[in-house]
Amino acid sequence: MYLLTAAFLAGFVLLAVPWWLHRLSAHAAEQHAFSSLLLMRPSHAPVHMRRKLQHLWLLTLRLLLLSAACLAFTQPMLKLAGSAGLSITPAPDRVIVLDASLSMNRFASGGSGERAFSEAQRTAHALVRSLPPAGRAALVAVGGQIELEAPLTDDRARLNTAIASSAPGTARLLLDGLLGRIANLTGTLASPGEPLEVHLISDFQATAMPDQFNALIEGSIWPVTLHPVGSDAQNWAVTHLSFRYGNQRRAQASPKTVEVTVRGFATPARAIDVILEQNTLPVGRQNVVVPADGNTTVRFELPPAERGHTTWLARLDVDDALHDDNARRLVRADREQTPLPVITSGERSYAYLRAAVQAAAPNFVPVRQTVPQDLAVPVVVLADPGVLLGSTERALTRFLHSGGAVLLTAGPATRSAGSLPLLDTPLTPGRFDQTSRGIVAIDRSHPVLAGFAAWRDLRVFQVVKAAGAEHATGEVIMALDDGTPLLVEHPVGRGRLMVLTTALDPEWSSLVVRPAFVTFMANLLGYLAEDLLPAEALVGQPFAIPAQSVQLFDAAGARVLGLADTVGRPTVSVDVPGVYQLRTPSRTRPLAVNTDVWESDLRRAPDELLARWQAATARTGIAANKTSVPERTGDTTHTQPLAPWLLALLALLVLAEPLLANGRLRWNMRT
Amino acid sequence: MLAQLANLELVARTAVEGMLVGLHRSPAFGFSQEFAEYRAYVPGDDLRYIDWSVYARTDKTYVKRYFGDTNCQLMVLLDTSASMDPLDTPSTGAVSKLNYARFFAAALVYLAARQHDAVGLLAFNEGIQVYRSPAAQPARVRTLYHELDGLESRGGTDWQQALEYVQTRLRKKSLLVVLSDFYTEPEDLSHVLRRLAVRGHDLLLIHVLDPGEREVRLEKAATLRDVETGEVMEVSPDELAADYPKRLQSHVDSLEKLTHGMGGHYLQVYTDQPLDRTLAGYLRFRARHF
Repeated sequence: MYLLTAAFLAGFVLLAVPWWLHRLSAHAAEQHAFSSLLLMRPSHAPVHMRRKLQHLWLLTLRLLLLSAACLAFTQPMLKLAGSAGLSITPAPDRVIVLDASLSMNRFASGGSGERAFSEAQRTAHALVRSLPPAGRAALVAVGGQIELEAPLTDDRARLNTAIASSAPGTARLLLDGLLGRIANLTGTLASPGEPLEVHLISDFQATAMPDQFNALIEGSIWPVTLHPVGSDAQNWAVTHLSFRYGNQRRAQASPKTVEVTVRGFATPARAIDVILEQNTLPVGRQNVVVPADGNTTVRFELPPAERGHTTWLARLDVDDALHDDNARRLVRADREQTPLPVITSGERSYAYLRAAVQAAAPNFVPVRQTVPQDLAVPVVVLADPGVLLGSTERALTRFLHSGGAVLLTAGPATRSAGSLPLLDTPLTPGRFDQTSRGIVAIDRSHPVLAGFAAWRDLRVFQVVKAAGAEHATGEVIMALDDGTPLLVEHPVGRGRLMVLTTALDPEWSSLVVRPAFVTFMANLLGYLAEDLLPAEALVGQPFAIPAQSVQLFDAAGARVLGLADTVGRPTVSVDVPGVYQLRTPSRTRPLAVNTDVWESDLRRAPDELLARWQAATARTGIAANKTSVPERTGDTTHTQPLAPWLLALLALLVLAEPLLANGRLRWNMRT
Repeated sequence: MLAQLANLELVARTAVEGMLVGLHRSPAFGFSQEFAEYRAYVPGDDLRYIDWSVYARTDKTYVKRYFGDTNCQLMVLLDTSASMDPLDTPSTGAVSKLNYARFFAAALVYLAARQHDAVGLLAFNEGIQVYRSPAAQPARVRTLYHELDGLESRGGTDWQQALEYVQTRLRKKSLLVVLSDFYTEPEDLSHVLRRLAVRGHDLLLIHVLDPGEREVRLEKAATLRDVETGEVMEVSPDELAADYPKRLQSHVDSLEKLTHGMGGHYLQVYTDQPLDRTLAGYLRFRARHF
């Protein structure tokens, strides 16, 4: 607290109040009327002085009381003589950063011994013990995220409890920009101008280092002390898991084989058992030789799969330093055959559409219809429908409002009709621009454009243009380079209407003749059917869920993320590996969450790199002139906080003041 | 007011008559209603004292005179300054000094009227509050009771003005009875009193004090305020107990010496003293001088 703080100054102004009151009462001594003072003589002992003295005692007591109250809140320090030899200049506050990534869960050697994280905890406890009197520290855990475990405090017990209760996670730690993120966090911990020092306790994996050295110190404003823990240890991990269909058409195939890749990090050549389970049932066990610090792939033949989703778990039977990466999961969603009603007036559009769907989305079965016969489907395609019957349009409108999705592509019939159906949007009459146009992606993060980078090479020759700003209610995902909307998503009731303003026709654009058209259509239909849910993710790494209402459940059926956590097209992360379920209102899909293989390589970054990093951050920014290293000087002093003593004095004064004021303490002044 | 007047007169009469009863039983005082002599009637004499039998025989009017009829003139000077009735004065008396002096003055008036003496009144403080020239007529005498009853104590004491006022108005030798607490330096009084004595007036100083002023008792040191001057003084009980009685006695002695030096008489009374006793003292003074 600064002595010029307004509250402190106001407190001292209050000291004038009892002084003023005493001055008033000093002259207001009680007087007795007497006939005449002719025969009286004044007292040799000044009575007034005696009363004054009593008043002075009371005044002094009250001034001390107020002064003690003011000073106690300034937390003054007293320099006292300390032990000889070392003089510790006031040290800055400490931020203790614990690496809580997956690799910190390693054992010292071969699956036994002390864990690296335990060694990190001991180091953190030592940092707390070495705090100077009244020194403060904060505890931060970093892994997939940065979490403040304990704010800046001088409560050692609280800090030690936070250290003891922390535990490593299963996420990956990236040291790239870590110090900058920590600096942002410390901005909320300490007051401006107060120096800090950061102590980073980590195993400093080589795989966590960025490609460029500057990324290690970027954003750092405090001196950093590195505390390496753990040691290089041998570790094997399942780094890859995939299934193969064989030579069958994918549209009718179920996986025939699963391939498992095992990798050794800083390991000798060793024979390891690899076990595969399908839907929790064992499929096979193979003993493979993993070369020294190398990898090998083993293939398992799969039994006939049952209907429904399929999950695989590949695990190693080996006693290595890190166990959490000895298993890996894979899922395959069983996409049921879904009719895809297509209402079209053009043979060409239907032909191109059907070819793309059969190639990329085999679960969709195109069914050409003139009027919709069964709308118990997720998606309906209107491929250049022209003019729709009124009953058809009403049925489709109800379908949209009830949550369905419609893909509407333009074409000559639509242009002749003069308006876009369902939107009832009039089209600009007259001749359209025949010059080919390039495409500009407005929303590159949209799931429809995932894996569809070829849009840059496409040329569009014809489009339909809405008159006025009728597309303003929709989200323009793609547009021509002159700004004309190309792909627009319109929310209608609870459903969605996706409008492609060009035709599935090579005379209108080069889209349909490019192989990327298949991916584009698969994305479109998958997005509209809310079937672009991810099948795998890494622990601690955010991933997008392109769906409106999604819930996430773990293997035990407990809800991990609810609707409130996944509003819109959310980006979420999971902290524990396993097989989860993604549930939308229309479907359920499995999700395999695995550890990041980068955490499996437990080898530390070169000592030279760490030394260089330490030197670069030792005297950084604001605290460049301060150090927490004890200095040997001639002074032998340390600071003692006075606030507790002042508060004790304040308590005594509060008790004594009323006793004196009520006259229970009497002074006999002989005159 | 009449009821109060009646009470004041009644008090005076009771005190005087009671005293006289006591005096009649004692031959030493010689105060009686025995016929002494005749005196030629002068206008203004009370017609009740005309001897009609003598008039019948001689066709001349004579007034009977008795023993005790001194035909002197009494002037009562009453101090009505603030010190005569202060608030909060440590007092053990039942009445204030002013009331005691008021009653005594009323008794003097009654006694004088009974003796056919002319009696007047001067009430003073820092100025002249009331002045009534001496008179023997009953109606004028009753007026004095009225004036006495309406007196209030306030302000300081201007002796010089009061005594010079009397001096300039009294043409006949009179008996001046001064009722006061005499909280003034005797030296300040001597000059004016001496001039009165030189003119042949008889002086009787009645020093009225409250018993609390005889012995000022304080439990602890206190600050006293003079009710007349406003002066403030801090006193301690120890010093007060040791020195005050001596200073009071010294002051009394000074006043008595001053009075005797002028041929007057000094009488000290306390308000807890019965009024008739004070009257008896007055009468002894009268008996010696008249």
